[in-house]
Amino acid sequence: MIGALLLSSVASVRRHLYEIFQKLHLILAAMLIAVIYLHSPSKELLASPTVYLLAAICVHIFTASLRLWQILYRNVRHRAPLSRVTVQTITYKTSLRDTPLSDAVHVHIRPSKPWKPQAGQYVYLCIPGASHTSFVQSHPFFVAWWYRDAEGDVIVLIVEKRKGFTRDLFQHASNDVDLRSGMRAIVEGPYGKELDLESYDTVLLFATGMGIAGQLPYVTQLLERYQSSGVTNRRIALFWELDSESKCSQLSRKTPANNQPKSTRSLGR
Amino acid sequence: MDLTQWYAVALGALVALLFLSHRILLMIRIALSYAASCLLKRKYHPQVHRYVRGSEKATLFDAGLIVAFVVGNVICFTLEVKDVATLVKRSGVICTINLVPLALGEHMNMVASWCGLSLGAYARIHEWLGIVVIVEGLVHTAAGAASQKLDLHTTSGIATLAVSRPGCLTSERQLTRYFSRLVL
Repeated sequence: MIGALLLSSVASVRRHLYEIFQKLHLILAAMLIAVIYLHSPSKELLASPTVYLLAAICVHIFTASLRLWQILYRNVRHRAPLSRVTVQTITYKTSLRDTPLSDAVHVHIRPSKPWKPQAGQYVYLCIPGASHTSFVQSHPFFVAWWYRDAEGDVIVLIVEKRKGFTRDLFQHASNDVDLRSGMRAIVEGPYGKELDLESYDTVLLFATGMGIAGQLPYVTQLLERYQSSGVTNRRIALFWELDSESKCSQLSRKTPANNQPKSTRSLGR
Repeated sequence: MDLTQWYAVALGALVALLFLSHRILLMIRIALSYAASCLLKRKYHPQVHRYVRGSEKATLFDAGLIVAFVVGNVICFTLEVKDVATLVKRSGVICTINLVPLALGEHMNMVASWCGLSLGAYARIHEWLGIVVIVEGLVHTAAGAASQKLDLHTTSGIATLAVSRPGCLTSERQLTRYFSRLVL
């Protein structure tokens, strides 16, 4: 069993079969604890080594309960049982024509219980209606920016097309952002900690491709705080490596009419 | 010194503390701030040399934690272990103790966020915990097999075989013998 745990945790297995690895890892870990209990000489719960197994199980149950509570708190609200999600096609606009990007979309989320988004935050997103198997899948994405419309706060994620869940999301992409008729979603989080960059004179940010989603909120936030509370940053430089010019449109912000994104306002100052 | 003299000294100390408290607190604050700055600059932020860490990101602080954990395990593993029976028992118990923090691994994001750790650092800690548990489990099994205590007629013995991986058994013949017992 230890061998199976070891083999299933090899980096290449994890990378290629992540969903299977995740579930298998949990099952094997639970089986390992059960087998160790059977193997242990003492079956008394409060005697060594059984007490450590009990502690491991309690720790697991405690964190699982906290997670469940957090998911329920974030997603369950009277008359708004789950968060709403709309997948929006990103369009690269030139003077000649508009070309939709084939490898990235914006995901607009209206959380049931909004929070104050901060740089460095990411959420786990589960959209049961995206495909047949998506109800058991939950994937992490950085919060790229956020805005407020007439009905509340909306957070935006930039999702790159890969395999599985992200590929399924593309089938639901449209040009409009209509969160009322959007899909139901379960948002878990926000997680992540903000780096304290305000005390530095010069801030250099580096991003490659989709990594811009993690860096953009820092630029937004530093500019906002520079205007509001006079933080000490004198220079903010963002270096973004792109495969093609069309990828710049990942940052194009199309929101419903009369809804000005907060971060656009601050960037425009 | 009698009681009154002790009282006089204590009163003097209190008065001195009253006058110097502001400066003492300031000095403590500066010293702590300097210590924190040194820790951040020299240990917390600098990365381990890339020949050691490869393409992974690992700061000196992370590496220090991991080294302390591994060294602590090695010490607990080897200290006062005089025979194979003690090694079997010790490795089994330490392996089980290490399972407790390992159980936090399923909800890594939540724990890392609440503790203010970076996810990468936490994942590395989980990985090292896992490696150490596996190594200890294998040592436990190998030592148990070497001491010929494996009895496959009992649930405990079968569980031992299930915990271990076949590759760590001493020989192919021994493996065949164990499986024939299991079938019988």
